[in-house]
Amino acid sequence: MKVLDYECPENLFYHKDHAWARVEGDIVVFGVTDFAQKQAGTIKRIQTLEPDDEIDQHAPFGTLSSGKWTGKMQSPLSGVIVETNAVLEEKPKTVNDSPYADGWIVKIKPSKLDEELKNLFKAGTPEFQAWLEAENKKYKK
Amino acid sequence: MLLIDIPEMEWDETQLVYHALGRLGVEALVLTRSRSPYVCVGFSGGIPSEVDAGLCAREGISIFRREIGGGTVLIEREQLLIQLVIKRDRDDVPAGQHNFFKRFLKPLVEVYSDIGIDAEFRPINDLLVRGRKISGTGGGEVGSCNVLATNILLDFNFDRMASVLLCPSENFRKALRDGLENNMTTVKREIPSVPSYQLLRKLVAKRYEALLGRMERSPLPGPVKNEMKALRKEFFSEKWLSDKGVRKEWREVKLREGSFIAQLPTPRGELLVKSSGGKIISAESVEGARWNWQSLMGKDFDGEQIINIVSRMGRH
Repeated sequence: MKVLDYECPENLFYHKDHAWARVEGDIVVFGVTDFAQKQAGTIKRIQTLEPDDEIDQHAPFGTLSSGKWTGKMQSPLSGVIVETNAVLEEKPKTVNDSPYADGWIVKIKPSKLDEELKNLFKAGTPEFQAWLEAENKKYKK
Repeated sequence: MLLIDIPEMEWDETQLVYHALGRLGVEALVLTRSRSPYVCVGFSGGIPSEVDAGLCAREGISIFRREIGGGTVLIEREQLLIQLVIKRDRDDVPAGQHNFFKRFLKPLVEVYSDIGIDAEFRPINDLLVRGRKISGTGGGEVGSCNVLATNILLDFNFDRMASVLLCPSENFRKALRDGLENNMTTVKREIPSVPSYQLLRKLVAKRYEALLGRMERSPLPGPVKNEMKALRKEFFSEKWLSDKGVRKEWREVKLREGSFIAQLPTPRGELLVKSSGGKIISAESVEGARWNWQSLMGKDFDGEQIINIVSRMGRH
């Protein structure tokens, strides 16, 4: 679905700092949202923690750089990283081109899935709509 | 907010200081300059792919890789370094890099005006005087703070800058040298009499205080010194320094927004390209092979696309 000017797939969970999480069996895939990639502009570098590293919900799991600016990506859930997207090492712009598919960033084995999913937004809910509208206003140039 | 006005620091301290402040969540405006020259590589870059480390070692030029954005820069004594470290969650810190740079580079535009230089802000973060860049700026999130790292270029050694960067050919180096001189300017170039460092530091403090309120004059706090010491391990680790950055098939250097020098491997040989305003304005063979590159003129500057276009070109 599209909210404002941004693609927001309904099957994902959204963190307030614009990362998304997709549950695939006992693994969860993370990426950054269409909103985040549009705000960043052309992404020049993505660097993440490595496989076997533990991450906590709301703590940084990596850094995203648009060249001029670097920002931290906050983890939607706690767990252990099991895989990182090697494609992004050479083609970080894949996140711009395909934020929800080829531009995924890390995969984790979650440690507190049910408990922590409650802290995330779902697209299509009034809370999600209000949050994205507020963010859009905040970031307006 | 602290005003840390230290006329000179050791070269590495001038970078470690804002990383330490940010990680500790201490808000400050730092004004300083480096005692000796060094090359500073932004987070997206990699020292092994951008800097001629051998030449730097021979010339006594140190090398640093920072955690925030911006390109590879040469820092010398003739630059006033200005670093703003400010909590991200403040109401007066706008969201988004565009808004952040615009708000917090405004005092610097005013300082240039104070000394008789008509500088203008050009998004995302360029300060230009008649189209030439007069400050180099980068930024990013460090700990709970946002950092703006910029400078006032009083003078600049274009030859040295062109020599410390890795260049795939001498044609590239010459184009880079010319490009730097044509796309950058300095206080010395713009006005007949260069103001003293002391006056500039005073003006910068005054303009930022007008925006952010009165600041507390302070030496470097003890905890910040300790954090700087601790950060040395991280910023001088083999892992951090040997990071190659994003792997690219070609070499490119950004001079200012939309202006690039690039050398690309193509099926027609090595191609040297210059761009302005994001569009290709010049293309020539590095080895002197005769090709008609005219069809590239005016196209968007995008290394991958250029290689693809040249691959499809016929011989003229």
